[in-house]
Amino acid sequence: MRFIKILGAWLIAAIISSVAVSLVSSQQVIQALIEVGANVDLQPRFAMTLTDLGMLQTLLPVMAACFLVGFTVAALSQSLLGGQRAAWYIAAGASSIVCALLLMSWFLNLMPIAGARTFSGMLLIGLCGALGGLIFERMTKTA
Amino acid sequence: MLKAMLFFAASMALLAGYDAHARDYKLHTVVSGLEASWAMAFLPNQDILVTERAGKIRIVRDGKLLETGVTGVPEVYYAGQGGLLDIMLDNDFAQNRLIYLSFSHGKRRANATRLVSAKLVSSADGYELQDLTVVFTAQPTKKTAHHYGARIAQLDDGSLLMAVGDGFNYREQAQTLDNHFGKIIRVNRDGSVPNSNPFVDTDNALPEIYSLGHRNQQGLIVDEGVVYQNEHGPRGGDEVNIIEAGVNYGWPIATFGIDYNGAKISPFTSYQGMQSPLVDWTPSIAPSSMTMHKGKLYVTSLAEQSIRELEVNDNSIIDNGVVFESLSQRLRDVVTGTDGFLYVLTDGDDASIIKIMEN
Repeated sequence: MRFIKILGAWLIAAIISSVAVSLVSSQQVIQALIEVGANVDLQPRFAMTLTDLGMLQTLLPVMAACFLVGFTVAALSQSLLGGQRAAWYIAAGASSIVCALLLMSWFLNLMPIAGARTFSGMLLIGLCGALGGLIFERMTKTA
Repeated sequence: MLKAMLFFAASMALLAGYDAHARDYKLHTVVSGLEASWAMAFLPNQDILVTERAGKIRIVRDGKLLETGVTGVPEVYYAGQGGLLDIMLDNDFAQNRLIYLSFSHGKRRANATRLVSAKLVSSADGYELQDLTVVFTAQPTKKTAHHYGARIAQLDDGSLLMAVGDGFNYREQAQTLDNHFGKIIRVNRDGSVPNSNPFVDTDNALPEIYSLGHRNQQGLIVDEGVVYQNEHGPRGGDEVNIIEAGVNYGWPIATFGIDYNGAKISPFTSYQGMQSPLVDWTPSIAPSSMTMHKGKLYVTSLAEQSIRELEVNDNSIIDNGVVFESLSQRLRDVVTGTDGFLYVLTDGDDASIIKIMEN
């Protein structure tokens, strides 16, 4: 039963974080266009943000894989070293997606998510990962 | 039975009539064994020079690939999509023996597209490059090994055009004039800037810029004074354009393509003040080169593994579709040879030069 609960929490965390990353990335891309002279009104911004959720087909598996590794490390670390459970999972959520993107960027020699090309973009995407960590921690917390 | 036979015959006749691309041609493999080759240039003596991205210029003579290549080739940054890329003879090659090379120059964390000139001199083993001169280096440098552009062309006044790609991670900079990403540049043979360039008097603009708003342009030719260009879109949005000085071709603000991860590049497929493509290919065909041959444009492709024929009508271009269908492999370059036939260069680790002999 606990395994099902953990599995569900992992999936929900991955989905919510992926949606958050997609929303953040869309705004980062739009902002980059505005900075070079494009005028983006609310309607095209909204339409693009909605369409970009199609990115989940590639993003969700990556996010889920990142969380699988990150949350496993968090669980082991917390049991070995102690400390705040939430802090471990928040850190794991943030660091796993950031590390994955940096690794992909190194191997591919390009950034696979356009919204992560800037420091602020990478930071925001890290926060999306942190959100996933927090959700997972809350959903799997025992009494 | 007779009705069925008549119906069948009529159908076949109709199908034959609708086969607009039925052409009588043969393919002849001139040479094979080229490695990651990128461009060809035909010398007046019918030798063919072929660039290999690792940094070699191979020589094809009398249908044979010579063991030794051209000596004196500059060092290149060979990684990703980069290396030794385009090669072009000067319009006055017969008098000045000048050739031009484009390549990725630098290192992983700082590289750029560079254009050099050199004199091609005959040697005992083939040819050597002398008086190698750096004509232009794109600025600023980048940390990616993608989207160098790098095709070279020459206008009738002798000035040189070169495509500079957007470097992939730097795509928005194709819209600003303070860098060379996503531009076509124009310089004189000695690297100086022509006074007639469109942005020479614009504050904070790099004076070499001729046009902007490009992604990764790998087709660039001049025919009867008109500059034709093709460029890769991301997922979709491959383009053919006629290039004019000072014009913004829209990337990435206006594009029919989407990002490889499924996200949009922009909310817009067209934008005021930006030139829309004359031909859009969505889904992508990955256009790699182009040439004008007997009054029609021929475009090679990587992803579609084809040659497409395009017709120019005033300022519009019509895509007649795939021709020479049996050439179904990744194609990197297309040139009209000194004998008047079309030659294509295939892509990959065991590339070939194929002559298309059309009756």
